Amino acid sequence: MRAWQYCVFVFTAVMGMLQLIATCHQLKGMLFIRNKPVTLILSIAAIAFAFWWFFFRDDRIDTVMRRTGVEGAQQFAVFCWTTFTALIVTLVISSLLQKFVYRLREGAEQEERLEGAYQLRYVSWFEALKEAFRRRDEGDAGTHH
Amino acid sequence: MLGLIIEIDQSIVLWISHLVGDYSILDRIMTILANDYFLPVTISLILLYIWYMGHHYPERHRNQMAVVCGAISIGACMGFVLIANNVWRHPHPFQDMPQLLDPVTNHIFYPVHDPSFPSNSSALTFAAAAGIWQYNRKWGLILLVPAILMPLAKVYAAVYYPSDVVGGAILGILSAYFVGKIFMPALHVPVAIGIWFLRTLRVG
Repeated sequence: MRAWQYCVFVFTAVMGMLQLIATCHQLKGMLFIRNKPVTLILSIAAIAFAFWWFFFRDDRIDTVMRRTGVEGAQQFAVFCWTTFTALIVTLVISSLLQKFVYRLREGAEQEERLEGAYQLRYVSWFEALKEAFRRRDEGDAGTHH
Repeated sequence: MLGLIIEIDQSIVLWISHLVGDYSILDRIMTILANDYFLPVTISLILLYIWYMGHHYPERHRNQMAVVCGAISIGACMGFVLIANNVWRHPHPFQDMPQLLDPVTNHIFYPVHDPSFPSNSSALTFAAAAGIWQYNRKWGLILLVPAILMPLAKVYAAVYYPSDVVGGAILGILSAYFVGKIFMPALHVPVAIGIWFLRTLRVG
């Protein structure tokens, strides 16, 4: 078993899981497609495909996986880095989509003020980050006066 | 006492391994469950889901603390397994009973090289479940299912003795208890800073 195959598997499964999370928790700023049933089906399909590809493509579960493959600590490190990459890729793509395709910001001001990832319910990741830094700057300015 | 445990272990493994080859569907399921990647990645994906779960701030904070506790517990118990492996090298069932190697172990899994006691897969899965359970009972119980299935599949494959699995489970649970009750409260400031940082980056 090669590390890159494990990376592709984790990357695809995590991307699918993040879309599933986004659709289940209404994190619209993290979604690629705004249609809930379509995202639900595609995200589950992505996770299922990742598992199928990794385990059953070329009968890997009965061939290469019968030898020691990616070692435990390496498996953990690869998982963490790939998950981090998948998260960043998801947030960047969804932010670009919100900016150029969906224009999510419209009407967001009337909604409740949320912290952390739940701000992605109303704004894209780029906008949420911008707002976080703006708030921090306002806080800093407040302390100086 | 040790002799009696080994005797009981061997008879259980021999009894279970008789099933291998009788039911191809069962063998297939056990091959998937015993796999080094299938359940660990599934558990990790569940942890990712729990990280984002919760409708209100306190609920979300509790779930994020659960994931942090689960992740640190996994790391801690892997360290304890490494120490235990260096203290005592216990052979695997397929080494004690070589007649099981080809028809059982090679049929379901593969002969692993690290010591048998404690079972690292059992320690890992139970540490994750017990770590989550301390903050979220429902998801802790859900994670108990893969925590039981993976070591069970490895006993079926004659890779571990039941006592290795029980030892791993106890180690995993104790690691999670240690992390949840001692480590997390003692280091609550760095943990809180870490969560605050992720929250500021809008990923937590």
